[in-house]
Amino acid sequence: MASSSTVQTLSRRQLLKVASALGLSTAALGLRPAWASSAGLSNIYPQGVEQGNEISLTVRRESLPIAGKMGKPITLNGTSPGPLIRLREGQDAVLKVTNLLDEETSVHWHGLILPPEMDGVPGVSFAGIAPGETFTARFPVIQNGTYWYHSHSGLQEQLGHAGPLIIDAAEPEAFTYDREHVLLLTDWTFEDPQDVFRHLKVAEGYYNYQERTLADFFADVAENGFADTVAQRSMWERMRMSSRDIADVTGSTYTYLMNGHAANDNWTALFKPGEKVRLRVINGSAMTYFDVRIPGLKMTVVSADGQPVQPVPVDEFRIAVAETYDVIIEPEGDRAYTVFAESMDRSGYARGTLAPRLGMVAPIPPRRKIADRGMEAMAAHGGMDHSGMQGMDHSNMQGMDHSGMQGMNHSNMQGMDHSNMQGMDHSGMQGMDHSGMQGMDHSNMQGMDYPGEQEPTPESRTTGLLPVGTAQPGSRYDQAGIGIDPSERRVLVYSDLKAYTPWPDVRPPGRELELQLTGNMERYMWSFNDKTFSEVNGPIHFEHGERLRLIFVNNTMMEHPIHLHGMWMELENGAGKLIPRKHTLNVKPGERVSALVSADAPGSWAFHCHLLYHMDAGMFRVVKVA
Amino acid sequence: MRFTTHLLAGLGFLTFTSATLVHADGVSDEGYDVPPGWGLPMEQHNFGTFLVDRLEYAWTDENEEAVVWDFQGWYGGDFQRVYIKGEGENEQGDGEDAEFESLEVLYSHLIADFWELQGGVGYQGGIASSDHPERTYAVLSLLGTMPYSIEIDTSLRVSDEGDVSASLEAEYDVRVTQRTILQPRAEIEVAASDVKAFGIGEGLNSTRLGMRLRYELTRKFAPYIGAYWEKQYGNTADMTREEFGEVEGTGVVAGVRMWF
Repeated sequence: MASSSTVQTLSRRQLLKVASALGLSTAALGLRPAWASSAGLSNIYPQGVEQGNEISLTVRRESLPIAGKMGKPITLNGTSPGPLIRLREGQDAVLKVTNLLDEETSVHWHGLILPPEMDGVPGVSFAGIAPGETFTARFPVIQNGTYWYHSHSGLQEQLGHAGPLIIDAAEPEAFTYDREHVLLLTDWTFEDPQDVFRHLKVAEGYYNYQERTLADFFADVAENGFADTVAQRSMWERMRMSSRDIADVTGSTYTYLMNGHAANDNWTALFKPGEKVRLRVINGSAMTYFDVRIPGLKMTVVSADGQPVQPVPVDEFRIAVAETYDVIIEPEGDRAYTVFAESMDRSGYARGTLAPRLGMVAPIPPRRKIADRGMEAMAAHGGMDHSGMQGMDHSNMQGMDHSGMQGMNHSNMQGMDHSNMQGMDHSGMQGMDHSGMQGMDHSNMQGMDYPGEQEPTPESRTTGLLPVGTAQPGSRYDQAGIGIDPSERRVLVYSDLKAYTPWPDVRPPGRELELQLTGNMERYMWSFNDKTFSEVNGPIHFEHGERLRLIFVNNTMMEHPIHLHGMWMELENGAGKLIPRKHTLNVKPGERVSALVSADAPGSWAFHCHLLYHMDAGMFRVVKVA
Repeated sequence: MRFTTHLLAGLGFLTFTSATLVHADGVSDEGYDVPPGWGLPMEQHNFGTFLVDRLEYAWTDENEEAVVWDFQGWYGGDFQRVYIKGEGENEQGDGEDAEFESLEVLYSHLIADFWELQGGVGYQGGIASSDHPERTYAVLSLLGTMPYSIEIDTSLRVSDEGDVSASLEAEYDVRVTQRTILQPRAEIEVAASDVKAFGIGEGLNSTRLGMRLRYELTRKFAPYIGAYWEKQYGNTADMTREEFGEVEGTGVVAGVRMWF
């Protein structure tokens, strides 16, 4: 397969299509890839595998059936999503990408540590691949684990220009397994991605058919009373926002795919009862967060973003766009299991089946009801007793008048973010107790009179920074996020993630860099520090060799998966020496998340929100390490 | 918020914890040192749309019928856009051609998260006929969304004769089901002086309250039915009375809202 010509690839693809139509696995056709071991590793990924010292990828646009209809995706070696690229830790990768589109393309090797000119971001790493051209990416493979690749040009990723990238470890891994399957989750639309973008720009809520209606209002009145309901609703109305804005693009246009197969295709991964099966789950979506579970099976998370973590047994995990998780499962018996990946807004799902043989099905669980966003997202100030609150975000408030307040108890607050407040008047307050507050950030406040409010801690008095690994006040690492009921089942949260072994750089950060995640939902403008990419005229600077702390403060009511190219982000989730590292960090609405970065990769790197339309709308920056 | 940030950046911050160690923006201003010929990784895109908010047939309580329209289109980026807006009607069976109550071309600038300030020129009068009096005017508009999600379009107009008038339109969407939307609507017109040719009097001219119920077959195409009540006041009403017209009336409408 190593240097397969286009002709060979196409014929194999057609074979695979026939096989898939007949419900056969590649193994059944005798097409078992060369690397398959005697342990029966087969059918790992239905779109084919490319491996070897030199791998060729041909990018083109062609008609293919998707979910029973003809679509026109971008294909890589004839399939969309593309084939599995399999590398080995320690090898020198040679990846030849030939562009047969009528527009520029690119391939970014997501999560890989490599030289900046090989990173595949047009305008940052290289010029892009012009139509008819071939670009060869050559780099030493110095890591292992589950990653993926995708276009970094325009909105091509939405057209299926993505695929899994697996790197086999040079040394034995921390866990064992008998078989593995790759689960690449994507969101496909038959609309032109440019139209999707225009719909988001022109008509807020275009794809949301789960908005609150009068019926919801009356149901809430019946449950909570008229006054409470009106108060709650008017807070949202006042902000001109929808509490049901969980996903910008939904199942109303998306078909959610698992390894390129729609839920009804019943794509099946095989196992032998009693085997330990490693699932490499990749969220290669443009816009969709998924909640993944396999009813009847415990999943043990062993790796996050390709990096080994201490095993965490869970029933379900939320996977943000661009994240990867490896889980070990141990299916038993002559029965099928449903792999259920529900979109975060509950508007649809991807689904596959784990079974000892083809043709089996297991029940598909019902979808949950869409959740309403609550206080943490709405940047509001309800009620007078704030004790025990965490992660309140008061950004964007204007003209608050606290005069005449009495007996406020702010004890035990954590992580209040009052950034960007204007004109607060706290005159006339009496008997306020702010004891026990931590890490309040009142930066950017105007005209506040809060004399003697905060005594710095001994630590911050010397360096001004929180100790290494400390979870930022305002983080919610113990929560999976919107629409998850933790009492229902055990769901993975960021505070569960602990590195398998400590990472080498244990230096404390020399400085902090805080970035506000900002947006204007109405206009569909997304930005860092209120500036879209086209409004800034220069990169973010990291000094080569420095250790710094990145702090993300989400001032919007959407989740943002923040991705830094070229360097790991070590998530300060309180794991101490076992600080986990990731390439993509999910920042929930109103949340404050921090990561340590060793700026050891000189060059220019992309840094952005990995929601495709957020990135294209301007939530993108260049980081320059020099 | 954008402007708040700009303002604050110039004022210096009150800092409590670590903010002193943080570069305010984390960004320098020296540009990107990429080789010539490389494009930018992200470009700002221009978009456009054309919304026919109302295209309706109206039946009044005086047995008059009319075709009424109200459209708005724009093209541009996040901050700057060009708008075209038009409202008009063709009264049926009056022997006269259609007329534009207003036809405007405006430059629009985003001044706050939910607000655009717009300026341009407009035309009022017949469409390719001399059945109706004509005038041109300069217009300044504020278009946006108020708290409680009330859509506002307010305009100040100065005609070629120096006559000043203003209008306010407000709309609010009540979601009955995911596709059925009830929309109350209000319009108020005022003028600074009498303009006889157009039947406009000094002071409050008229108010119009309407309610439409639309069904979004798609987000872009929604038929609707509705009703309205309108009333004229002061000098405007007097002028109408002199012409033996009615100063208060109701009507029902059926039409379609669509955009492209």
